[in-house]
Amino acid sequence: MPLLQRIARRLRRRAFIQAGSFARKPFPRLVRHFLARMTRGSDSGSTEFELGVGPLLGLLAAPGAFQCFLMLDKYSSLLNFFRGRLREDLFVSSAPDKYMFVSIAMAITGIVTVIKWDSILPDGQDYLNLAPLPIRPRNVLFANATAIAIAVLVLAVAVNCASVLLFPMFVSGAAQPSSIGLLDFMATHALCVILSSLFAFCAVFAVLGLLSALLPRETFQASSSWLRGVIVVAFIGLLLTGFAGPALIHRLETTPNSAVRLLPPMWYLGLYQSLQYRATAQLTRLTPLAGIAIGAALGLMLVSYALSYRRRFAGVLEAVPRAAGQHWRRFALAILDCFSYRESGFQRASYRFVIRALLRNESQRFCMSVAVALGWLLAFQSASTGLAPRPNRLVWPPDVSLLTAPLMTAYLLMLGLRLAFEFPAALPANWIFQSTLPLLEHETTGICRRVMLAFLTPLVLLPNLVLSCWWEGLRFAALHTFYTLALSLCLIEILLSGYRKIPFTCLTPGFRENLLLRCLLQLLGFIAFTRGGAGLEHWMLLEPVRFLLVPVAMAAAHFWNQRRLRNARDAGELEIGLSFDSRLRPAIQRLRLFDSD
Amino acid sequence: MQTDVLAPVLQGHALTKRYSAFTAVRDVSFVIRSGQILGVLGPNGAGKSTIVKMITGLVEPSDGAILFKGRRVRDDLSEYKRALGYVPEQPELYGFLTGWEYLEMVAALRRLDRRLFRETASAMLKAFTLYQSRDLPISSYSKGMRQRIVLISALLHDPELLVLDEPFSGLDVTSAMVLRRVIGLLAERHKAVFFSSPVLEQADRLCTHLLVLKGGSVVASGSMDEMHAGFAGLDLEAGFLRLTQQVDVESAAKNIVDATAATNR
Repeated sequence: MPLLQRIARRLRRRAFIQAGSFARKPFPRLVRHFLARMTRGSDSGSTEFELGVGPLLGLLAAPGAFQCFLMLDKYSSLLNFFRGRLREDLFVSSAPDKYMFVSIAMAITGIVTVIKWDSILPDGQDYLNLAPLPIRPRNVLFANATAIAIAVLVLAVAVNCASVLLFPMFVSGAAQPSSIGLLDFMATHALCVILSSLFAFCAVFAVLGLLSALLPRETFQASSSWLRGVIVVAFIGLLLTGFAGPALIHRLETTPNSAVRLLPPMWYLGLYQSLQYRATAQLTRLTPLAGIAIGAALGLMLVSYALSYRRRFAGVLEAVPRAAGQHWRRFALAILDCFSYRESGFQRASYRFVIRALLRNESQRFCMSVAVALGWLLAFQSASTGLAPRPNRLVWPPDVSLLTAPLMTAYLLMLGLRLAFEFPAALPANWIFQSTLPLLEHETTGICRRVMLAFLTPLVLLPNLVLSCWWEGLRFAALHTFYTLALSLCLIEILLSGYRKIPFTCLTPGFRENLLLRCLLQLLGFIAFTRGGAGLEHWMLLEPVRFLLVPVAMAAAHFWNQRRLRNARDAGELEIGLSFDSRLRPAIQRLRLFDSD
Repeated sequence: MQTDVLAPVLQGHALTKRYSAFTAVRDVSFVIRSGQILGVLGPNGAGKSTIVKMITGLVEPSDGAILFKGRRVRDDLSEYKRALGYVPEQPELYGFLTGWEYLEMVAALRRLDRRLFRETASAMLKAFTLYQSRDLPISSYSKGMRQRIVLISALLHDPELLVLDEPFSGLDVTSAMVLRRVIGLLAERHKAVFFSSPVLEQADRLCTHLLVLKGGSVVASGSMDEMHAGFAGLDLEAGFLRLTQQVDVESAAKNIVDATAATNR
């Protein structure tokens, strides 16, 4: 036995040494470098939220696992016995849930790909570091391609692992097939959801890669974050279709040529059901599209990779800097600068700084584009519900769903802007503010309020005024826009309460510590603002004189707030002046209850 | 000298800066009068940048005080910052702004008249050969271009006190010559200049007074004449090396070359 143990130990050591020496060779080292870049981002001073690989993979798996547990009730044999649904073919009735898992796989993979787009391909920094080294460009290309392949597989497995294990178990547990049947179900589920993930990745890569390769460099750089924001919202929309799975499948069966057949998750549901021999005629018709789609996306991805690789990697040195302002951006700046302070001073300088930072920084633009696109998507959906013909629909006042639409856009825009203010931009450059300004003499609430109103006016208020006027006439449009503005002002005051920073000049506060609670609060806030606000407006529209209550209530709230602030200032509880505090507060503060000092 | 009878513009009185247990600057005092250029010399880690940051209000001294025209700067910080022009060691700028937008922002922060700003900034940009690049984003600027933009932003408001932390780093020969002459002319027009540099020759050619630091403390100070006299026949470089007890230059260079050759064995 000791001899065998010694041999085993020696073999293990040799394998370990060989693995170590392999990992130190240039190619695996390059692959590791590109993988690390994808998980951490390219810039060491990156402001992205950085998670370890373990928590990141756990986070990716969470939606699938959560969705599985939500389905426990549906697949409980005992409950189904009481419901009288024991004879149901669960492979057929689980089709909406399968659609949901396919949607989750596509949406999460697509969104992660969009967010990580900048760190997928090597960039100028890599070029400057790698080009002088004796490594063939071909090896760098293959190492990057290998890293991408590994990352995509890990991503697809992480996103879908929980559902691959749990969902077939829940359904099979209720249907009671053999062990082989369970394994078969798991394999089918794994194949379909992983193919869905790969399709989403290839599709995003193909779209962004082709645009990056075909558009002029400056145009792509300028529009990339907006485009990525729109793609993220499209994936969120795709995810939301998962909740309407039963209705969509029913629609496909009743109206085969409806637009539902164009939804990619439906193609993979067709494949899923075909592999389980449960596909209806309509789903069978869509099954080949799953293969064609992934083949086309993969082909386009490879083309775009080949085209954009050299451009991104080596082309950085050939880039000629051009003037920052394209025509549309100059136009946008001109409009937003109309809201600027006229007098030279801190407020004017800060306002113009904030506007330019919002329009020209990747993270800020991305945050805003997601907020705006999501707001418009929800508003469009809500307005179309409000305008849909219904037998008992009143002519006046308009439906609550219609009134909700601009409030949704306004809320998400304000929230997106407030969040964007917290992302730092070129932190080391804020010495200019610190060395120029006496910190106690200035405050930024007014500047931020003005910035928010500058964005709110062209993106929400003006479209709202024009569309309302078109639908219901000028009187309604004026009242509706006035009410939206009033509620937005209240929201701005709440969001900016206690804000003492110049936007982008401090480190991001620890959002992660209470992320779940913040999300829950914002969700409740969104419901209260949109539903509550629209309900109140509906009540006031019944008797328009009631709108006079709005300025009265706002004035009362303003005076109450002023008094509260004055009392807090007198009591020394209110911090005044600018803050450049860049320290990250610890998640947990030790109370030192037992320390003698 | 005539400048010595002028009232002090900036005084550092027993300045000390501690970071936890580490003392970066210990009991440093100095005086700058109108028309004087005070050079601060010292090896890396001597505390030059910490003193500059204390003077510009970026960090608070742990002990001691900074006086501007005889008054503590904390008593009237706005007045002090209005009179101050600062060029930091690293030209960290907002890369998403263009050169012109950055200068416009600084001018607005300093409440300069917009028409006056346009004239002054255009003239300075032309003098520093940056006018053609004024609408390019700063992210595309070279280090020298950034340094010139920072210099312009520090001079825009005609400051009484100019604090320059290694201002020549990254500048091309022409810009460096222009800047040297600019500093000289500003001193002639009774501006006070605080100038930190690790390069002896620059200090020798520019400064009227010198402060030599080692390990956060002052090891020598005085006018340039006094410094030269104090080194007793040694030139400035030899005197500086003796004061700061730097490494033996010859043996350090030899060790580096020997180590490089060892990799080829």
